[in-house]
Amino acid sequence: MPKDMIRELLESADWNHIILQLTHHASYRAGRYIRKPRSTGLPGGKSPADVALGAIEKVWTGIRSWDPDKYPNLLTHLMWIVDSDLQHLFSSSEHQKTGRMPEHGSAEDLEGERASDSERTLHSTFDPETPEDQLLAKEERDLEQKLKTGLYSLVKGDQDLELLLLCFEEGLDKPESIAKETGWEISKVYNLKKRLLRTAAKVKLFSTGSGTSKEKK
Amino acid sequence: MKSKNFTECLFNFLGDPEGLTREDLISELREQGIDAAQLESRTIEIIKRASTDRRLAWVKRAQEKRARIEELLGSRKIVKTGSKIRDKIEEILRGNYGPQALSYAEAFFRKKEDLTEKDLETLLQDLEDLNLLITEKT
Repeated sequence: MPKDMIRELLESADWNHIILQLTHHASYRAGRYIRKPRSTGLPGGKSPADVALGAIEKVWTGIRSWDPDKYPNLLTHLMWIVDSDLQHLFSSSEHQKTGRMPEHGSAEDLEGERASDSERTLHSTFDPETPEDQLLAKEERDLEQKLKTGLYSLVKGDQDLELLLLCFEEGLDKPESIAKETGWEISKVYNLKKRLLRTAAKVKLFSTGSGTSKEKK
Repeated sequence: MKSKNFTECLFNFLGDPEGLTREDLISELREQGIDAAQLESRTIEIIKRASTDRRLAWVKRAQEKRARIEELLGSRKIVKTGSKIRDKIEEILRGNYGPQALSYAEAFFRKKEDLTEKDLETLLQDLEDLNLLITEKT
């Protein structure tokens, strides 16, 4: 597609909505890393909003150019960039702390696009090989158990939300696959997402027990 | 491939903005201490700047091309020559006769330190012989 046409598509996009969606995505994606044991938040004092805005700037300046013919969904493309940038941020930070090279590929390997949905798990850096790794893995399991206990007690008696949490236990995270497994309408899954967001706010989702992560700007 | 654990599934599911309205997102971001209005104004600022840069990218390219031509012509001791020959050479170096003529002329310039009027005439003659100057101008 000619550059002028790509520019027109970019100019006509609803950026006020996109930035909200992208920052929301960046917050939760970063939250997965932040909830690791001994995490001190995003490296370099960045916020999820900074990462989302950075992704938008990269698309506009052509650093991570967008090919609408290949990837028609602009938001999906931006989310891939956010994922890649966060992975890069945390793997660089991990390398600085431990002096070891990250075990997964660099963010540049992604080239802005994931080949498929077979995303790498975030646990690849914590394969229990050394005593320190084993300790970290145990702390991570304890954190997860604490989160589960908190959530299950909050949704107790609400059969739908309890079933939704069981879906996560089974490794389901896509609304479509959850709808298929439970027999719910997709609109019901979205409504449950809204309810769970409100519930999750009560368990300090972005905290490892040492305080909440807040936007600094 | 290791299957996703509970925490990953929870964060993936909640972090997917699909199915969330603008109001849902604003309220959710507020919960995290993020001001949606400030976020939107920062986005508009970035896009305004980037959009202008994208629109003016051709000016930068033209300036770079101009600088390259000046460098080629200026770095060689070209004797005083008729303006018609110089104009024609400039047009070739600007790419107005296509990439083949441009490459030929650049290679010619690279080979020589001093260029006489005769050299420039030879260059034009070579290009004409190669039918590279009859290309329609773009």
